[in-house]
Amino acid sequence: MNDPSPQAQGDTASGADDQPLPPSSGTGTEAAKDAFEEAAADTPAHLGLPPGLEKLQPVDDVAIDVRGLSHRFRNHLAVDRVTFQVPPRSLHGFVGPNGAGKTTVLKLICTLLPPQSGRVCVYGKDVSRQTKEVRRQLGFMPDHFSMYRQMTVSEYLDFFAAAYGLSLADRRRVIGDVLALTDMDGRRDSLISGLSRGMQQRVGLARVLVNDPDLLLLDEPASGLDPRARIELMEILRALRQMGKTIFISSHILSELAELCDSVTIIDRGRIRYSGAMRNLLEQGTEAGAFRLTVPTEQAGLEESLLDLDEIATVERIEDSLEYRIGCAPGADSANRLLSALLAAGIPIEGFQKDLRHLNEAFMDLTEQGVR
Amino acid sequence: MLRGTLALLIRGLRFDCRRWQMHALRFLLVAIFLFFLFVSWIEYVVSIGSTPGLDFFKMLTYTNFAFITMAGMSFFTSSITEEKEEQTLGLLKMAGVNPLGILLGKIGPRLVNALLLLAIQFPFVQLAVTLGGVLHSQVQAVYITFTGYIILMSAVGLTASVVARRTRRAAMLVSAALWGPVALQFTLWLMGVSGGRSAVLTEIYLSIDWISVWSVVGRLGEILSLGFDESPVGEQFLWHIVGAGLLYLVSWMIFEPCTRNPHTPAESGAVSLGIRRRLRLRTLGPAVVLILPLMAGGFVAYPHARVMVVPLPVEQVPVYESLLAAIIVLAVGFPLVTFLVGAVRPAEPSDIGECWSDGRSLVWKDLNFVSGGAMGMVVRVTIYSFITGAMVFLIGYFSQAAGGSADEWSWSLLGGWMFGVGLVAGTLELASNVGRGLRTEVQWQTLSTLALVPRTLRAMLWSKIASGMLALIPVAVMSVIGGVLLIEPISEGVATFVSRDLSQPGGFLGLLMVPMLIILAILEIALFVILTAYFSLALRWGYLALALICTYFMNTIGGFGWGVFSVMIGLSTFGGRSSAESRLLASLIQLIPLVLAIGIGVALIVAFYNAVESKLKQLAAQS
Repeated sequence: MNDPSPQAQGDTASGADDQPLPPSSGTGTEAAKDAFEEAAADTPAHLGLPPGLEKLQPVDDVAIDVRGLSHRFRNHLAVDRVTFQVPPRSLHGFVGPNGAGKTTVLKLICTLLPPQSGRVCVYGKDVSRQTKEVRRQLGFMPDHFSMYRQMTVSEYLDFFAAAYGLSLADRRRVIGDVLALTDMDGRRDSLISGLSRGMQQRVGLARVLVNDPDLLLLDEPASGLDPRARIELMEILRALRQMGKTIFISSHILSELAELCDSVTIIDRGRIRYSGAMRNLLEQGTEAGAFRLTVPTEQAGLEESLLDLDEIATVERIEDSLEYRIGCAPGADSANRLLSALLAAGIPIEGFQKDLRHLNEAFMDLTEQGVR
Repeated sequence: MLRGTLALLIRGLRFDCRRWQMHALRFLLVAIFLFFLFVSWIEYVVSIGSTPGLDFFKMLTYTNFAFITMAGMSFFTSSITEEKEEQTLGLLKMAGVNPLGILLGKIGPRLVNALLLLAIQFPFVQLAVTLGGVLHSQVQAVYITFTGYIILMSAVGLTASVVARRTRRAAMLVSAALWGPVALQFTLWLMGVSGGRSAVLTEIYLSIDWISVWSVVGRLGEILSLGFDESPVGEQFLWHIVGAGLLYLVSWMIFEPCTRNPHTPAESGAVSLGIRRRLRLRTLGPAVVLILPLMAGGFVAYPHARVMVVPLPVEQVPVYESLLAAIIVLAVGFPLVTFLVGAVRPAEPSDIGECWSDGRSLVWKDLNFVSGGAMGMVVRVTIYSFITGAMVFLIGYFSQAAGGSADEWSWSLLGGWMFGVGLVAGTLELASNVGRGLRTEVQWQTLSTLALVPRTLRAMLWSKIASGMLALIPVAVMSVIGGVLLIEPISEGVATFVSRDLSQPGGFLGLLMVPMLIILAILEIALFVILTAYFSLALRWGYLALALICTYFMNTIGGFGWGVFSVMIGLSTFGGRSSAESRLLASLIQLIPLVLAIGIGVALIVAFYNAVESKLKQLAAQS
């Protein structure tokens, strides 16, 4: 697989193709970069950065760079001055309610829609100007089964590999690799129409990988999959991240995203509500010295015993559970110190962790009720 | 039941009301009628026609006939198959709508729309009566005939839609139901040419009349003849209503068995996969090499074999019979030889590497998965061989029946038919392949993934055209052979023209008209193909029929415009004088409409080409 780092990509000449020109002057990567740097300088003042994004990284240092992006469908403003960045070699979640503009943003990134205003860069390349180069670097999996169902799995992958210009030897090697990665080697001669939904999704993922893209854009990859297929898909995504791929995943399954993703962007009504590290989002709204303690069984008088400890200021039992939210006393907010105190006091412990919000809570806080 | 039927009916009518295509179709029909009105007026002004009202009404009538026949093959055939294709038929059944309710609810809106198309003609019909030459009784009779025909076509379409799993298959069934009786009648007529038809065959021949599409043509001919004074409700109407009633009943009875097990693409795919594994495109080369000597052997051996059965000198055996024998060897032998080669060839270890490289990969995909691949080629070779065989037989048989000797065999006549049929069939096939290739991408929502392949959408469109053209190899071979057989009469014609006309003033301009007409014909084919491509992206069904209608009327309007322009300018400018200068000018003026037509043709092709491209971009972004 290729090295997806921006340094390894190198600059490419600007390619004229069938996409309309973006609303700025200048040609080629350098001109695009210059314009981006200018835009970066202007962004905080004119556009405002979304919560979570403290400052914009240089365009070459990120996998996806979206700045001031807007898109309108007739009278409907689907995407409104969206700005966010996705670090390379990361798994970035993209969440939002239905109709929030997720798919539109994905299509703008993957060059299916030309940006009406603002800019999108993939590994430093402007999607409007260097469409062909960008397409070679990304793989897009739409939210529906986009497949030739009368082909066999290997015919389907062979077709896309050939369309991407791979030599016969490379096709044989790459298809073998992606089939092994997606655990579809045993079904290579099966008709796509005869495969289950989960397997078709794996074939879709295998198709995305045949041109060895650095960036994967996955739109609702787990929708409609049974729990087993979903878990297996997430495992594949983890493996891909370890291989150095940047994965931008739009999904509604927040619990899995919280576990899987390094960073997240939340969009609602066409606007970014948060973009940044997942942990920062989950820590938002929680106290600095707050921890969560889980005990194995019901313990009478546990709250009093906890409050007797000097390190603990507040204790709150989480309803219908064996979990307690513990607030540390001032100056005693070290996890080690608190855990030592708990063990010394003979408190039975099944689980102990920093108190974080669930992604569901963050999502509900950041997005508004109802649809546009 | 009534509630379910009404719900479906209202939904269908609302849906059709919102679709711009239905309004565009009505607008197209009105535009055509206005054009006919204009033609009638021209005829009246230049005193060509004595009964402008009747002429106008005849044009309306035969246009309606063409429209209803086309509708039968496209509009009505999707009524149930569209639910099957979207896998929503089960939902309708679960909603408690019984089969009769589904049938009536689905065919009802289409029937109403078709009858509305007749209703919008009312003002024009009144105008025809006012122009003179048509009586109210004729108008009534014509519209009663059409009402019966529409109801029958809706029933035929519905039955086919219940039986078939896909709209395309239903359309093929309706076409077979329409043209099958005509072909049967033709065969019976052939059997009677030599005077040997029995009374039973005559009865069969006459009975077929009532289920044949010609019954409508015959009835319309009767009504539109001068002095028509019969009841407006003819036998044809009654037969059609009875036939439609029976077909509705049959549809109801077979609905459950035909829709009980929903069809999954995997079922048919598994069968085709087995064949595909054996029959690769590269199997065809050895098969062609093997079949050619077999054909030559058939041609040479046939006279000797025939002599053994019928004692006749070898040289007296008609050439067409030997030729027919060779063609039958091709039609029957080619599939057998191809399957044999496929069976002998070692099986491929994997499908990887089968696809052609780079830009040609798109061509490979469409050639194999839209045009049928090697299997499609074999089927086409068989079909065109049978068509050629039929032409050989008919030409040979009739030249003998007309009293000609065995060696009076016209190669050029066969060449003309082969070339002509090949050209028409090839054009239809090319348009169908390109349209289906694009429609399939829309239907399977694959445009978004295909658009991200590092090729432009324009290249993708050209790949579809290229794969469609590759699939034309069998019909192209037929046309080329026909063209070769035409070389002699064409060269004779050119020689005559050069010796006779080229020396006259303006003769070279006449020579110029030939390539211009050829260019115009090529442009017309290109326009038809690009129109089909556009309509396939905009419509779910009936795109080929609509493109055919549009091309036909563009052609009619163009031809009429050319004729009127030439005649009127010629008459008004020269007043019938025949000096050399006048002839030269007349030739020049005749060229102007051709140049104009070529210009308009090119402009239309470019406009629709760009429209297809932007529609593809739009659909790729939407999918």
